[in-house]
Amino acid sequence: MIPTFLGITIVVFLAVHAAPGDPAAVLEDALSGMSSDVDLAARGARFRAEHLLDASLARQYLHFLGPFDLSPDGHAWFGGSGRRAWHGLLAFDFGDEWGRPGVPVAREIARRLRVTVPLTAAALFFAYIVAIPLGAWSALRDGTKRSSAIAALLVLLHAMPAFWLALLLILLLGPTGLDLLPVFGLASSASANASLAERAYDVVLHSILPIFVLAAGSLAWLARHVRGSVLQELDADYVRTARATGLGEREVVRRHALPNALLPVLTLLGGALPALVGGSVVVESVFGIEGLGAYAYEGLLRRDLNVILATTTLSAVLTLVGMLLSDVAYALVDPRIRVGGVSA
Amino acid sequence: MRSAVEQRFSASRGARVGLAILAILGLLAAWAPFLASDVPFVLVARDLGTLERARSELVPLAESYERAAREDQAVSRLFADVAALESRIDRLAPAASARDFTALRAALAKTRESNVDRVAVAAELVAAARLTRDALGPGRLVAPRERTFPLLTRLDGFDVLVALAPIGVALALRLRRKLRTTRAVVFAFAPILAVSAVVGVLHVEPRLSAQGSLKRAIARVDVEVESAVFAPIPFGFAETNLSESWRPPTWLSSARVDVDGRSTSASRAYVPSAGRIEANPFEPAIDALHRHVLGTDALGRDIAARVLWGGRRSLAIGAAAAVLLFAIGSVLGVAAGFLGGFVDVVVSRTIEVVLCFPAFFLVLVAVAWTDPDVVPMSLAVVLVIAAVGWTTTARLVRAEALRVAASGHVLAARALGVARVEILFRHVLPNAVGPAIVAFGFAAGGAIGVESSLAFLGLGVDVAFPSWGGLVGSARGADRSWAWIAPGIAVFLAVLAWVLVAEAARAALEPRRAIRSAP
Repeated sequence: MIPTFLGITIVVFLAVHAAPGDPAAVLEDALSGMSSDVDLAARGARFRAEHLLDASLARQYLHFLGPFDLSPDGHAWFGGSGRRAWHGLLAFDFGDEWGRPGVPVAREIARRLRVTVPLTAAALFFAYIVAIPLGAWSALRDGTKRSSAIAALLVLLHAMPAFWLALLLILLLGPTGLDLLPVFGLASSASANASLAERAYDVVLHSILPIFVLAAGSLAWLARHVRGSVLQELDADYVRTARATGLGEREVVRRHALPNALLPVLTLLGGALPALVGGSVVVESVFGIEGLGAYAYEGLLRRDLNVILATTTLSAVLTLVGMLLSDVAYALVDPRIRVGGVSA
Repeated sequence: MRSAVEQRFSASRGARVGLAILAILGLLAAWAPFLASDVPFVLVARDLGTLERARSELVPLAESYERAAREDQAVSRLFADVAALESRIDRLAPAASARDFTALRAALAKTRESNVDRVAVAAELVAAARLTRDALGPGRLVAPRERTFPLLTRLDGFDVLVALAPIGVALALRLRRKLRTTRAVVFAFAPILAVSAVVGVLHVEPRLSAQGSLKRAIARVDVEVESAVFAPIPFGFAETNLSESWRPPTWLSSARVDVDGRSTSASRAYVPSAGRIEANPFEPAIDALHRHVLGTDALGRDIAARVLWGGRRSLAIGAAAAVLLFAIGSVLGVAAGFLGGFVDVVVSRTIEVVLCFPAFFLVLVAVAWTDPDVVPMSLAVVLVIAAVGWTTTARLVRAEALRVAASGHVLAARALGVARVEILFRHVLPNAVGPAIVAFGFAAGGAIGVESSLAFLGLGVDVAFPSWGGLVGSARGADRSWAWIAPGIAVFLAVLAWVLVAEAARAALEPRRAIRSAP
């Protein structure tokens, strides 16, 4: 767990710094467009010093990891003035946005996590609740026409690019088509002074399309695995034994095959979560939702190093937490895991 | 010899459909220059303009010689003017009769003699030049017919390689029935590579499509085009026509304009941004139903042409990224599984970390930070997708390598004293990567998806070339759905084809399930 976390921070840090292209140079380009009279070289140098861009990679990394602030204004232990002692991932302080001084990245992220986490959780829930019956049913009816039709449908859904699916749904269900669902943001502006129930209903309406698009790819993937898992269990010896004892097919499936088949599906959470969080970038920017993914995208467009480091790390940590939860849940429901000790 | 797995694979319907879609998309992309281009295949034209210029330059050149002679300038300067004059005569010669030039040529010959009065000769030259110019006046010059192949001469080495590649693949598949796979591939592709290399070295002409209209440049007033053969879609992927922006597919009633290119009075008719559409020469008529089958984009570029050309980028990036990540994953996976110990710990831990990442975030970050001057964008996208995506292959190969390492033939090799590296590459690797081939198909499809999503967000694209995702991204908006539906379908089909192939490969590798799910 802790090594993985450290690994994540290192990979994020290297991904930003190893890519050819100097963040400060990019920013200076942007700054030079803003003002003409200020001495640019001096400003650039001050900016670099302030954000430690001249420091060694190791120092920059430790600054990013925290909890001590290593910048010139940082913790007194590391030669700073002591004005800002704490900084970095461990202190949940990522500094201010480069583009908007005075706006802490951490506050913005906290605000946006409140959007992305429920959205991702809902999409995950939706994906599971559709994928399990669909996959199990198509495995039980394996070989029939309907089962192959569902398999084909799942492949189609899997191959559909999320951005395109989103645009199609907006076209068909939004104001230009059937006008069934709102397609922008998470709440309509008119709902600000409505009652709580109305506001909740409004949010639910707004989130149907984003959740569906987010879930679509994972749904197909999960359903395929459920199908494979059930098929495998149906071939197992204990199922044959159960059938041989004269148990009805329904009972065999319900009491023996399904529980065993669905257990491994739980661990697939670890695979589905990164895809969901990654997909949030596209989905949030298409539907105009102010979530973590959209924030990362804005940060990228502005080449704002603080925003990028923070959002990328947090998205990975979010995934890590999700995987941990799924491992715990797996250990809870499957006694065999507990005997072997707690898994990482 | 075809193995049982291979037979099951090629018998499956999914594999056939997937491979067929891939073949069609690949052919369309590889032959895009011949399907959609603003450069003609064949151009038969009489270039009067060049002749006219040569004729009008005769006198000024002669006069500049005269001036130089009077000022008694250096001999080299004198002869430069004579040479220029001679080259004009040579250019004009095929278009007129030899008699027209006798006087001028005689005067020219005198300038070369030594011990002559230069000034007198120069005056004679100017008089002869005037005479010749007037003799060749309007109607007397007949420009010769010239047949050129602008499209073919504009292909560079890479274009030729791409265009011949489908033939190479077909040939390799045919040869494979008789030869071993590697040998078949070498035999099929060696001549193609050689031809492309030669073309690449000799190539001098400019790129295949430019902004603005090449067709208008060809159809100058003073060039008489007898015939020009254009591609089925006579529009270049970068050819702009600002008077025709955001025009819906021309077979729709909402794209209708009158013969003049002005908006018709119908309520849902297209309203040209500049008031009136101007068609370039050699294009279908403005009101023709097949003018822009898929409509145009913001700059009036033909979307059908851009979709065809965009496939080159998307398909190539998908395949290249998949090959690279498969190579990385196989080597690391087999090393981890077979060598074990420290290597295994490092590789497995790295896999664990990378798997945690929403890969798309990482790709986004790395691509956004890449300087297009240092690394070309499409290469950067390939590298980043491979660097993030190798883990699935590595896990599969590692598991297989563990199994193979414990098998009899490896033990036998070890007992014979074969070096560990040789065992690794000759005995373990070939046997361990087979099952992971499934991951290759999914990776190729996934890479196309990632590349398109990136381009959709406006990242990792080359400004000069279209890409499917970029086409969707720059056209999104419900009121011009025609502009993003077609490129979206293209992405969808490409991903779908790879997924179908991968699924079929998986089924073929797992006979137990394959038998169960057989219809």
